[in-house]
Amino acid sequence: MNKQQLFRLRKRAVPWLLLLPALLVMAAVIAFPIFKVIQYSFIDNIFLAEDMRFVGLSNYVKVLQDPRTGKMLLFTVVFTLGSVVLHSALGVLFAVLLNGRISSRALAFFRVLYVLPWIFTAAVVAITWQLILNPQGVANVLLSAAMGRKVMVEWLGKPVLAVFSLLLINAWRGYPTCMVSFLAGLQNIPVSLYEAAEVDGAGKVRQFFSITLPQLRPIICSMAILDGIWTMNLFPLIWLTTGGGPLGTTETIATLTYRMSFVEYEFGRSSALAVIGLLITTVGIVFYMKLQKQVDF
Amino acid sequence: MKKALSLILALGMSVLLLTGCAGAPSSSVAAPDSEEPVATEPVTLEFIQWWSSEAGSEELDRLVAEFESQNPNIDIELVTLPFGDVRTQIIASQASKTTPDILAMNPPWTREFYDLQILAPLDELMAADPDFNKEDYFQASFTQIEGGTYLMPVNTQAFYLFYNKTMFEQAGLTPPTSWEEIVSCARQLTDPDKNQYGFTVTMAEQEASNGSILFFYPLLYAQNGRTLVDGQYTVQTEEMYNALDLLRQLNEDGSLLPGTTTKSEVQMVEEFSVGNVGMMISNDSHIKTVTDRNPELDFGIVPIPTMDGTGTPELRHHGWDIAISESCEHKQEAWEFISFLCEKENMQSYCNAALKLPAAYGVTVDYLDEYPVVQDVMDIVNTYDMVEELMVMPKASACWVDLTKAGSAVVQGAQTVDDALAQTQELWNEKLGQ
Repeated sequence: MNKQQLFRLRKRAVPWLLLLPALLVMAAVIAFPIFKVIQYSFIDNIFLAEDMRFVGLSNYVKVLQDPRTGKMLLFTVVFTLGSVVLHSALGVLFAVLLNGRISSRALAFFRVLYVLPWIFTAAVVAITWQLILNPQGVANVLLSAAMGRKVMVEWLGKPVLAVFSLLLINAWRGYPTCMVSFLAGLQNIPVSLYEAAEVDGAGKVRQFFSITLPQLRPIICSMAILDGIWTMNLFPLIWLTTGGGPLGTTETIATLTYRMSFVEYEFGRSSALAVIGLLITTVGIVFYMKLQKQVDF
Repeated sequence: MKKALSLILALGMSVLLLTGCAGAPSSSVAAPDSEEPVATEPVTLEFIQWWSSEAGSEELDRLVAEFESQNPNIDIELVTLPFGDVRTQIIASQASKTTPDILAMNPPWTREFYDLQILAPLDELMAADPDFNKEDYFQASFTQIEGGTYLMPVNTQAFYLFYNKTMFEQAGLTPPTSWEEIVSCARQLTDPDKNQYGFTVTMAEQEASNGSILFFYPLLYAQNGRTLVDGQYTVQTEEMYNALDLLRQLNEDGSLLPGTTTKSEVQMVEEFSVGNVGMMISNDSHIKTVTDRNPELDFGIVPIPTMDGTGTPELRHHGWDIAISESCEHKQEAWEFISFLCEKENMQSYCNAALKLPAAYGVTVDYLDEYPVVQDVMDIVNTYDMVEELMVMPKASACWVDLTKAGSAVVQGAQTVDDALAQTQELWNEKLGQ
């Protein structure tokens, strides 16, 4: 190999070598576990080396035939869509409020306040809301005071109420993520657009719907897809709050996967369910990447 | 020059990463013609437990230090996790072939871990130990699985009926001696306007979803009932029906403190500690919890009565047990530590510190002045027989969750007791292949 070829080889190799540590980490903590889970989804008796056997698509069939799967998918869709809508709506609302022209001290205070739900861990959020929504908790105390009679609603204990309660909790916890992104987007909207609209006689509401929302649309769409992916895979909050109950009405892909693994020891089936979740998530990622390409152009 | 330095740095980081991912070298040398390596260098045994996160951590540390000073070639590395995480961690580590050597065990995990080949039989180790006598210990933990013994008891607990003495006295009631009296007392103690209720129960589905083992199983054994009948695990027995029906009755009477399907065991105990609940079923490990939360609460403990008050109830057994993992390369050393921990003197000191009851005959505790109700417990434990079926039941965790969901369905009014038990039986049959 002559000097020129060696030089060209080195020039091509250097970026890859510099990327090597990151690639190794990604291979170890992302690619390898994904590969193993996909492998396990086609195997039975994963823990018992001498009894381990390839079972083809049998685990997938059993998962799809499991009587819990239908209810689980329904709740996952409802919870994901509901959370995304609430996160986006609340995120836009609070971002617009934070983008207002108020004193810098007040702005700093409200920024901290609105971001607070994001700071708490899932365990703290779950316990706090369990206490608030306990039949003898603050929510019922306030409701009793407002209605003038004793109210003991089991917010997390009745199926329909548990769904709404979880949506509320997740909306409260998740809106700051969207809010921060939307705030960045709002601050990139040229002020001249609003000035021109004002000159044309457009009020604040008209400006919001005709300028703010259209300008934020690419960010809203991107965040909606990402938020949907994150929410679909949400585990700690649901597991710690309702455990997928009552009566399985708040079971999601993530909680059912965990239950199949660590409660029922059905590692093959849980791996199959995890792969199904991965495929659904991949669809979301494809949409996100297509959207990003459109935005770039 | 800059590029060369960057290259060297990148290669260096990659090498460090790869060596960091490699396993630790073994500290022992394989002896010729033997299955286990003979420890020529210090042996480190990893002991995973939740005990220190609950009680007695200093005493456990002291016992470990004492053992290590007596056995300089053995180091015990304590790994402390919350109770719920220990089981998950053991399973996860089995998958990654890094199972700790010594395992703190909750008896209901035993059959499950046996089926996953996590546990090593202790019989040969026990037989070869001249200082160890099985008969000195409460026998429940020695229940064999396929002819092997897998657990060694460290302390014992059982389930009882806790009652609020103040509420009972104010209502002119005495502790119930039958289930009819439980229902009647609960009804009389309930006054929602005063935020007082007769009973608190948990049937929540959050982990550990253990409402069935806190409520149904103790009631089942109080009737001398069983789930293993004629070689099959069944919930469709008269005794189990009665247990779920009691829950239904208490719920329909409005005697249950609201939140049955959402509160955890900890919350249930907390509610009883507050002092506005007449009764709960729990184990003696919560005596300390209740007393510490509310020292003013005057409460008592009685065995759960039989249904009609005749005959002798049995108690549901629980406790802290210990096992050795099958993958442990130094089982003899692990047994020496277990045997040391369970010597009567050490068991007594650990139980005193952790406020537990010893699992050996003739071993007493010295905290009775601080927790006088424990004397009642000791009297009960030494009088009544104890039962624990879950330790030999395959897929016990999944099965008890199914039964908890049955309880939740009954409380919600979603299913009758018969339908809930029928559905649970179907789920059990599928899981257990029976």
